[in-house]
Amino acid sequence: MQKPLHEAVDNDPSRASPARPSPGPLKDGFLAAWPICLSYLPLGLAFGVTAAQAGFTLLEIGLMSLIVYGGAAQFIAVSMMAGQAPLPAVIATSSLVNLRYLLMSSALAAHLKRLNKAGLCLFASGITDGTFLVNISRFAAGGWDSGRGLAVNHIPQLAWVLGSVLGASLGQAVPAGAAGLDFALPALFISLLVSQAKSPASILTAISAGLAALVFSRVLPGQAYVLLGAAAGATLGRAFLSIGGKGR
Amino acid sequence: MSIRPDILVLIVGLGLVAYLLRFLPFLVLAARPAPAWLARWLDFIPTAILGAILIPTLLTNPSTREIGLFQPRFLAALPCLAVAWRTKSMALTVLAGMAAYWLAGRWV
Repeated sequence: MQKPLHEAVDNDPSRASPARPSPGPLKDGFLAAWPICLSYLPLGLAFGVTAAQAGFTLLEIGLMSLIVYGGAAQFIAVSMMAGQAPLPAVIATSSLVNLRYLLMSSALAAHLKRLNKAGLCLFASGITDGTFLVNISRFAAGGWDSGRGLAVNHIPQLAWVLGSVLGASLGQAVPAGAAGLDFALPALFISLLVSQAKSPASILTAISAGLAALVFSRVLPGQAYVLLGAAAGATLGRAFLSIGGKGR
Repeated sequence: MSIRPDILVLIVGLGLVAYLLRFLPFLVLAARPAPAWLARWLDFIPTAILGAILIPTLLTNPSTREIGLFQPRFLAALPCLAVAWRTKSMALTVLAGMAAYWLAGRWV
């Protein structure tokens, strides 16, 4: 088995002392998720503006952000609708970018064994790139549970819906590059990567997945490159561990 | 303020597909845990997804889709990586990254 993280990113409640009283899932969730919100709020604004320009009503925009909760799929859907594409084609094409959720949920499942059916149903609705990556590294680090995971899933959802509705009603997005907001999510991912890249196998996995994704992104349309690049990188990392040795 | 019927179908359709893709693995793996070979492969998935999202983001220009090192995102990633390495702090890394990106955007 790969040894995942040895350290939490920070604010890990388990590290201070095992007996420390918990400050509550909402607070922990917020402390882990605020960089995601920092990114989803302006992204939501941009989506709201784009969708309103394409003729979507405020209610449609808010409902779509609440129910779909996926930036890439929503942007694609709105631009295809604006181009008068047939509905089944819009749904099929936009949903392709969501195929990567299959991998994310599969990886999360092992950490959610103690969650009941209703909890799983709710948890599933909040999985995005950002919330998945934060939750999975917190789970691996320990001191994390499904309540905190739910907070990480759904606090950014509020930011996403709020941003979309504001963008739709104000018609005003945050200018590109303002206050470095565009980089909040990549910076969060860099911090997660540094905390995960502990073993040669995990470093090899990240780099090979990234390079494979880069190649796929040149030859494939849309965002299929994330799924294929990740599958290639994980396979290589796993193979390296099998060949390279028993010592992790 | 209203919802057109075809847009409602769109929203429900998109939402249903997105939801099923997120939920079906839970359903399958709750009934029967992943076999050992799959579980070992899935152990690598978080790191792999991180690399697969991050590296194209940093090296590809979002508007032209050109690959290159001399662009704000990659330039901002370097100090951001250094801060992440030194401090191991998520908050400092995110703030440093945003500041570096903002600065890089003014020069490049």
